Amino acid sequence: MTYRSPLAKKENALTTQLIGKLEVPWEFTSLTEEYRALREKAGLLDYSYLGRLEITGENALDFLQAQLARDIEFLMPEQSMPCLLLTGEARPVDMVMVYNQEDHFLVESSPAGRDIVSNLLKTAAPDGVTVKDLSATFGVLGLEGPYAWQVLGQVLDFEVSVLAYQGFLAVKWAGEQLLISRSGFTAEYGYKIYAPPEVIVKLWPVFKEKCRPVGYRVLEVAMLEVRQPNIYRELADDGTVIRCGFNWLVDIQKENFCGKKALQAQREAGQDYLTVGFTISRDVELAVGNPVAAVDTEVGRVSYFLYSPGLDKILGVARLKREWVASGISLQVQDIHGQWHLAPTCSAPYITPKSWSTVIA
Amino acid sequence: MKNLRVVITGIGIICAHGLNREDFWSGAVAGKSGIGPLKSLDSKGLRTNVAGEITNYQPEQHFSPRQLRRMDRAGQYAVVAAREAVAQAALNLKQLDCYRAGVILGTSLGGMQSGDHFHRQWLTQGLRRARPSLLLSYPIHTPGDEIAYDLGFKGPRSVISTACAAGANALGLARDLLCSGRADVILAGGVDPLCLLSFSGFSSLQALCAGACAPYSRSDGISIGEGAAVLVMEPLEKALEREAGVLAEFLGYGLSADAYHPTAPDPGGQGAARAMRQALGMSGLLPEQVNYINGHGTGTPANDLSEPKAMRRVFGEHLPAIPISSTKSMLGHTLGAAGAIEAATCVLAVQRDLVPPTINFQPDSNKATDLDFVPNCSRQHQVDVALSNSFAFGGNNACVVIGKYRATRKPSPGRETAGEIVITGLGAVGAAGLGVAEWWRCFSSGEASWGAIKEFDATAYRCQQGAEMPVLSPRGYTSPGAWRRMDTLSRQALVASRLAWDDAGLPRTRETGPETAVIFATGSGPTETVAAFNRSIILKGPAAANPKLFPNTVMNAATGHICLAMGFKGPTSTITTGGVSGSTALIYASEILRQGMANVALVVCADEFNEVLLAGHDCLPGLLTTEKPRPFDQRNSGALLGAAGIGLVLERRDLAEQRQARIYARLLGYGMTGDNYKKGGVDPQGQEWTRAMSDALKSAGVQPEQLGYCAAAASGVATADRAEAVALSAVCGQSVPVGAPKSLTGDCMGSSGAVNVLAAVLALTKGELTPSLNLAAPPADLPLNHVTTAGTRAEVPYALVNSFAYGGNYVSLLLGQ
Repeated sequence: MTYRSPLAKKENALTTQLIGKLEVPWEFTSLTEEYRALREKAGLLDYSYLGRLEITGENALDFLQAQLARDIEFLMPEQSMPCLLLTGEARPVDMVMVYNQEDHFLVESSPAGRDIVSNLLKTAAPDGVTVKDLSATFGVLGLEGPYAWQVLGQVLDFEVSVLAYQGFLAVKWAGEQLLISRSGFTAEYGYKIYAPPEVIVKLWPVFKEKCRPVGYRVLEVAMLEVRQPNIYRELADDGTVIRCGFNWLVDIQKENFCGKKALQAQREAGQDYLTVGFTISRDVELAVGNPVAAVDTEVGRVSYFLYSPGLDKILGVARLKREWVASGISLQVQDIHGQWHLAPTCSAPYITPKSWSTVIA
Repeated sequence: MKNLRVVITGIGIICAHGLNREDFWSGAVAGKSGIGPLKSLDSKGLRTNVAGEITNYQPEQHFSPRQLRRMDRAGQYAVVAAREAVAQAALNLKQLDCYRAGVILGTSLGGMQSGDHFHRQWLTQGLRRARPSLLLSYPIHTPGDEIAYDLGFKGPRSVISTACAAGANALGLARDLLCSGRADVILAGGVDPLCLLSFSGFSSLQALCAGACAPYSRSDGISIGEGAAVLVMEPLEKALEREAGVLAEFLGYGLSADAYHPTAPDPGGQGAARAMRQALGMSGLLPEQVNYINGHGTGTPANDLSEPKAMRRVFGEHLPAIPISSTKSMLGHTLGAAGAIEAATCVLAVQRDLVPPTINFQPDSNKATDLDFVPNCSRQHQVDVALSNSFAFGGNNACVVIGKYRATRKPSPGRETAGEIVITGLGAVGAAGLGVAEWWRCFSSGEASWGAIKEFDATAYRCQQGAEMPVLSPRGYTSPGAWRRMDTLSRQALVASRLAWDDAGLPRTRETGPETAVIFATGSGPTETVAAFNRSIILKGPAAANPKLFPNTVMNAATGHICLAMGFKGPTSTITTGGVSGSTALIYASEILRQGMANVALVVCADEFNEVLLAGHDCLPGLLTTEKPRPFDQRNSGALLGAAGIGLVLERRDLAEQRQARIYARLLGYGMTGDNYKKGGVDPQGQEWTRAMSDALKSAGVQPEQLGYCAAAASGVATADRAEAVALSAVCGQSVPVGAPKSLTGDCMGSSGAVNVLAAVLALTKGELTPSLNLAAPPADLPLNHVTTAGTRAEVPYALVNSFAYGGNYVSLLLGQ
């Protein structure tokens, strides 16, 4: 059955799209307008499609340590961190966000990984560890943008600046308890607001008065622009942790975690292909898997691409033979008609987020 | 801990406004800018060419040529300010019991000018042509020693280095020592000279304002200044007894850690607000009773955004009615001196009912229009109570509260007073191993942890041995990301902290954070980082300064990393008093616990061992041996250096028992003294050391014959060994077994006092006595009961722990079962 956000009835997006079994709001107005809102002021997102699992029990920490590829032993209460969840063969399942709630943990998954993460953790949980799916009992709103902090502060009565990056805290609004986290996706100031669905429905219009709703489409663009992992898109082909450049989401020195042995074997074997970013004219018609060439020799394939309004170009990532992975070189990419086009490689981030030069006042 | 009233009876200041208190005050009241063209340093490559520099200073008017050969600017400024303060307080130095007169100084740079000079000679002319005497001024505690030498003080002496909060923090420690009856008078304050290291560092962080800074309005960066301020602090009853003129009352202080970011302040001002609330709480005051705030007011966007938020948290609706001004707008940021200069400003404000202005204030740029920043002109204003803020790198916050002296003012009731302080957690890392069990195995077996140096090529040096730190991994201690941001010293400190905390069985919860104090101690400081940072400046110029290294060059950087990694937000301080740093940190932690400023205190000591340290020590004759270290032996020829990270968890006994914690030992007493022998030296007569040991016994109510063991500070350096042997002979005779852990571990500098605590706890809990290795021929004229054999056992009800610092500083601790 398709999941629909509690907001879906009241706040119809212009278009929606199915990601897995989830209907996500795709676009509210237009990509350009939503992009401008997100990169220049603040965009309001309906994140209710994110998966939310509560992990409780005396051995909850040990359990998650065994599952997650990063070391969360020193994750303090009221802190969160992104981690990869791998299969035993070291294939990425999802990038999840882990929140330490002091007496339990919350694990947040992407819309595409929601069911698989839930099933995987429920199946792996030993006696004494409970994995409870809270996805239906909590809705989530998001704010992303260089002035997201300002919008948040205007609506909720708390000092936004006390919320450190990857921190979270509880705030009251209209008598309701909200959980606010600072854990965005786009390298702008990013916040998530967790509350029961009925509260989310009440909060949405209040935020909507202050900023423009934006959909999943622009979110994916903004994520790609700063090379935020988008597992659902990037693993469509033969992606691995190393090929995709997701090493930063793994603590290989960690004693043990699901997929560690296989990942170590991959590291020892060395990697034939790696990922690099490229740009190409907006008029080129591309498809995932199109060949990429250097000096008239095919050196890889297009993994994933989107149109970036910020660059006014198509921005993509390609999986190339490792000797060709470098920024600042000129590649050629074949379009769907068999024509070759110049595509310079570049290093992330592909744009400079305005938030990096914006101070929370 | 008595709730004594502590008053201020004298002030001395030297700064960009002038060479004395009245020049400073007249400049401040006139709203005069002391910031002008930088003359003493080459500004090429810096983002500014102005500074709050002291001009018209003629050193020879204050010091003899002989003194000037010995003292660098930091020492000179500290002494000039101290002399003025003593003169105003009308202290009769001849009548004063010199053992009851102390010095507590805050500084960020200390003798860095001398260190920089030496480093430059080393890099440009070679180590053998560099002037070793510069190294005697380089230790950060030297300016404190200079004050003591100049005035003949022999009481408690310590130097705090919490960067820009050091001066304020020093006043707080002085207050605690006075309240605990350790002194009759303490000169407390701060000092920092201009130095290329700080200019280059702030410049690399793009934190310098091109012109004169404009706090609370334009907020486009800081101006650096220099200076010193010293306040004479004494218990009210002592001041009245000697009919001193009381200038103001020191009502209270507060300390806190942001635990937010390694360098940036908490933008919401939560940490700063906690320090302000604690200061008001200790003072027994409500926020609305404050009439003036001397703000931290640096002029950086980060501070000027967060500080008003912090003040709003504390003062709420009352804040708009309270004048707030920034002394730094006139003098620049004098770093470790700032807290003391600004506390002195508060004393003058309450005394004269006049608030100085924030100059360069541009109303159009003011982002907090409802607040009164006393723009550009001073003002007559009734000031009964003033609060001064000082916030530092690493998220260390210190606030002090100064009140008009009123005979009828009641002493603050304080939060709580408590009895015994106990040690409930131990952590250790170093050549002896990882974990206290490994260190105890080293102590029991008598297997020395030092050996031939492997980590670097030592063939150019006479001494080629030491106790090196094993390679540490973040695994089990922190995240790899946090580990990458730390330097060697911080990593050692963090590992020791984790081990001690886990050993104590304490939880890490959001409730424990604000109730946990972290007192860091280091003798060497982050030498590896400082040397790397300075090297690039010397060889390539200030423009080559590495902004990634600079935040870790401050002494308190490790404190910030520990608080951030472990979520500790309570009082925090950094003690940098050479070899007595660790012992002094233990004392400070105990005082903080006694007055209820925190429920738990983590004392962390860390010292590096690297080529820079070896090279420096190797230049000074008699310090390092080319053979074995032979503490107390007639053939002793020097020490070996060692690296260490030691963590000790202290708690109030009632709270520890309540949670059924394992109690290793009770901290029953201590003694702190200093001599006036010579810079970098130790008086071989040992009189002051004798007094420190006697005071420790006396304060614990323990007789010498009750002692079961003494963990001696002897390292193999002839004069220091002799001084300690004299003292031990005088206090303990031949009855007390004496061992020298440094013979096994090397001299771990500021951490050595804590190493000796480990040895003492081993003796108290297991009856195993750490020996003095390689001791075959003790001096015949000083017979002691030396433990020379590993595996010696005895019932030890009480143990004495000794430590000393070069420059003549002695701290003894008395531990009991």
